Amino acid sequence: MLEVYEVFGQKASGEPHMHVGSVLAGDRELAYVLAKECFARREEYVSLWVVARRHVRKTSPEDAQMIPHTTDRRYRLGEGYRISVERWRALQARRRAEAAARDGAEP
Amino acid sequence: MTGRGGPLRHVLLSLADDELVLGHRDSEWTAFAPFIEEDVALASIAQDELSHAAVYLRLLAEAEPDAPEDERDPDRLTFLRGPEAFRNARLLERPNGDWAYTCVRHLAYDLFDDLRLKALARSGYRPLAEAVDRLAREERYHLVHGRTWLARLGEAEGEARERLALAVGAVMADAPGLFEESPEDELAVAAGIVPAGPAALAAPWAEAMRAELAPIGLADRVPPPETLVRDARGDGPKGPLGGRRGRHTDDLSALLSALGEVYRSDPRASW
Amino acid sequence: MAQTEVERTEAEDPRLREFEARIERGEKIEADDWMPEEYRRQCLRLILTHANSEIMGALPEGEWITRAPTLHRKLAVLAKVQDEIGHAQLIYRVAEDLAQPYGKTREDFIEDLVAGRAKFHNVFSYPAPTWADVGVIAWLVDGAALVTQSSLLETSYGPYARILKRICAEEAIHLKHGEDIVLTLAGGTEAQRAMLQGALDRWWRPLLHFFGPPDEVSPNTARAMRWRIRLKSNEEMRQQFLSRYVPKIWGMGFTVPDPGLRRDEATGRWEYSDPDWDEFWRVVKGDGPLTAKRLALRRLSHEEGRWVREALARPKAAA
Repeated sequence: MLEVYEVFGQKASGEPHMHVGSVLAGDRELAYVLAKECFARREEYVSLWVVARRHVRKTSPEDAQMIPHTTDRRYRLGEGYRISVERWRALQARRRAEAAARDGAEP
Repeated sequence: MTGRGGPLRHVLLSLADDELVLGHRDSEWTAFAPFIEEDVALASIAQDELSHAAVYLRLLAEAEPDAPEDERDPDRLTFLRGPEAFRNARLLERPNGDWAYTCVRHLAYDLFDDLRLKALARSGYRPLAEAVDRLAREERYHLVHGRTWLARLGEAEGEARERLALAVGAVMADAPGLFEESPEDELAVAAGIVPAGPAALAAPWAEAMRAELAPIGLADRVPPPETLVRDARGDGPKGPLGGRRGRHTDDLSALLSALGEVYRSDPRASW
Repeated sequence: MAQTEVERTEAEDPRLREFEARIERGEKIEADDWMPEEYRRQCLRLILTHANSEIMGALPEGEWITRAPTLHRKLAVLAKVQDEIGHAQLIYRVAEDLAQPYGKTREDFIEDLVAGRAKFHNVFSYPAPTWADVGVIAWLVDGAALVTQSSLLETSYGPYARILKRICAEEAIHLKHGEDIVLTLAGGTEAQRAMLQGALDRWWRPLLHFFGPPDEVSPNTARAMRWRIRLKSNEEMRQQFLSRYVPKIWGMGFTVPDPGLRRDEATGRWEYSDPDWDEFWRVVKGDGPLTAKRLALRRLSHEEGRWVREALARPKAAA
């Protein structure tokens, strides 16, 4: 019985393996041997992985609804901290004002 | 929103406080969950619950623009209110206990919240109906997460099974608190804010809970709906009821004193 | 370290020459590739210290999740501690694959950690008694960690280099979160400003210690550099840290507790008073102010979670 194997390829040393497609084969060894020419005959890869599709837990359309977060997550992102620039400016203004007050108070 | 403030406020605070208190409890697990991957997952659920509380509190601020700051600012509502002003069910303020209790309580609550959000999608108060659609997507993960855990712990034998059975018993004893009615609920129904009071959710919840527990042989632990809405033990210091009317256990007082520790040291300061 | 039989044999191994040539060409080494025993051991030590530090690093700030003073801060501290745990997840997985020939699993690593047999960064043995400590930790401890971790982005061990990209990106956000807390306190009430100065005073010495003592040129270090496991010396990283943060602290109108700290305008190098390296050695050997207490906390949660891990590992009995 032939089954589907998902193929992952690494384009250069140190890079992650990315999904590149799939092949039909009767077992994992043959899937690997066939994947080499199906995917690496023109594109350059330095490593390939194959895994039987039945071992992959995929996202159903229903699951897909729950994957993205839908409420405010700015506290996790750089944009949640743009206000720091204003805090810095306000602090500098305050320091200048305090310094001016000190100077003014000196005889 | 004059005239609507009472019941709307009650509905929004019940929603916000359930999420806030449970999110706080979840956050207590951070760095201490049974293993690392789960630690990450539960910390996200905690963030969802806390973010949802913030969404409800902002709805309240928008609904009552003329209310004093202490009664409408989300941070002031979170950090300065005393326990008598909280409207969460008592189930959610109980300490975390073990991992089995945490999982069962979460699933029990998530099933309830799922039904509540479905009902609120038909709320006559538009801002609320619009918000719940967004929140329900994140809540869906909580359901899937809780369900998967319950099944795994239920399939295991020995200690896991014993702890799970104890946890189901403890959670079911407090479940009536989720369906507790208060005088504002009738007004909320009349004003079209909610299609029905919380007691109406007891029967579908019991059915959903039984369906989750049936595969692991614990469905008989779910109280019948009539018991859920007419619990004889009432709101004594240990009982399940009182939360929706601001009568809480010492567990909530302890939680709130930690929650407000820094903010209350100077409520006028910027933090 | 005495050369083992394996290492002597390896020195004559033609695979060693090929391995070093690969590193020379800038190639990355993968978990299944042949590597000298000493390379595996050194990588594993570095990576495990990092993993242990992430999980121990969750504790000082974790104590403040329940007490953070605004909803935004509460979410941000929670998310940050979650990220640290998430980093431990990534790093322990890399360590586990690397330790496969030794048959060691994550469970073993954690057992080693909670039994006090493993190393983690000195800074996580110190108390965080005020809210300002949360800001200083997220700004300066994470700032120090970012200096170290960025220096490792080009490390020769591929799996570690890959996860470090994500870890560094997340640390950069933690830093902003910490800096925002610090700036808020710096611009706040007198009590808030005093709280911030107190936290800076408390953390300064552990921060100087963070990078380790100036390196001696040991054969181990030389090899770690040649094999591109590490790429910068301790002192280089400490200097980078000082250049980046001291001017900011001074610019905010705050001080660090070292009257001898100054930048030599001619060389651009920072001079600092001797930070008591004995204290550093005591702390990393397990005798820091809170080392025992925090390890006990980790041990407790490890033990309390054991039944859960066992329940998941055991397949369902045949129905």
